[in-house]
Amino acid sequence: MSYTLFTTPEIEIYSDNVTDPMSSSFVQAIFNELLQYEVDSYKVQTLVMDSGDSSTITLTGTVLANRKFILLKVVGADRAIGHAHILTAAKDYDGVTSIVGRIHTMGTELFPGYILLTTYNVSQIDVVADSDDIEVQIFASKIQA
Amino acid sequence: MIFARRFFSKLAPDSDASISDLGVARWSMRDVDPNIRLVVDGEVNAQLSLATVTSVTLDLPDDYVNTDYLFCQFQTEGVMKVTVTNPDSSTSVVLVSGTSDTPGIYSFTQKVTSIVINNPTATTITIGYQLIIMPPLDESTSFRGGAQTFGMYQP
Repeated sequence: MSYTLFTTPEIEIYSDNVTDPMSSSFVQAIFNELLQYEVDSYKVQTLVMDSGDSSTITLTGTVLANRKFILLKVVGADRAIGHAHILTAAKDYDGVTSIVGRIHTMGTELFPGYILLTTYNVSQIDVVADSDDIEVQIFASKIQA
Repeated sequence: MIFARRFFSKLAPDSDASISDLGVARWSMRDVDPNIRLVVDGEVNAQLSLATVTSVTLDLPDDYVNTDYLFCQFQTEGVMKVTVTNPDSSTSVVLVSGTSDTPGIYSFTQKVTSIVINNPTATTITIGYQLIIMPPLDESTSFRGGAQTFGMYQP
């Protein structure tokens, strides 16, 4: 079965305080209001981690050239800041040169940290904790060709 | 400046599903109040075209120093390589892949020293990006409104 993944990452910035932050955005000129990916496989995991812990996210049935969409959310315990990063091992555009991504984020229960990435040529995805007592939720998917 | 952000995702069993079909079974990712507002210290919004096999070092927001956390978001309809240099001089290199129908996105929050965008392809690409200086964020940070929406749904 194939699935459709809709994703709207939305940043809105206002010069004044507003009552409805979702009501308007000049950023929509840059960012689509709605991104839609069809994915034909995905994995969701929730991890409770301490600093230094890592976990490999395995997407079965994928090859290097497949486009992948990764979404990570991190929060700290008791409203503390949680820090985490995604470590990606990948090949560059030439398909030969190795590149490494270290993609960080941080957040609290009230303001979670997020990572969103649409990528390809990735051979390994690891989640690494950079602080204690964090909860990480990750969604990793293969975008349908 | 007032800053709000929202991420929303949905899985539906076919490609014709509408965003209005929301609300069936929900995964463990919490769905909470859709609005959060937080005062931020500075931002850059920009769109640029990048010719084939060229690179550009992005201007960071005024007053940004690399002890601040920077919220960064990119979107492209082509392939771009994003190289981020961290304050400890380590680098992160990621390919972002998009099409006109399914743009590629890349979003993170971290301390940075520089951000370089490279177009490795044989065609000109257009990139949209935002760089936002995050205010100090800790357990005492006060928010207007509620928490942040992050819903993920499966059929």
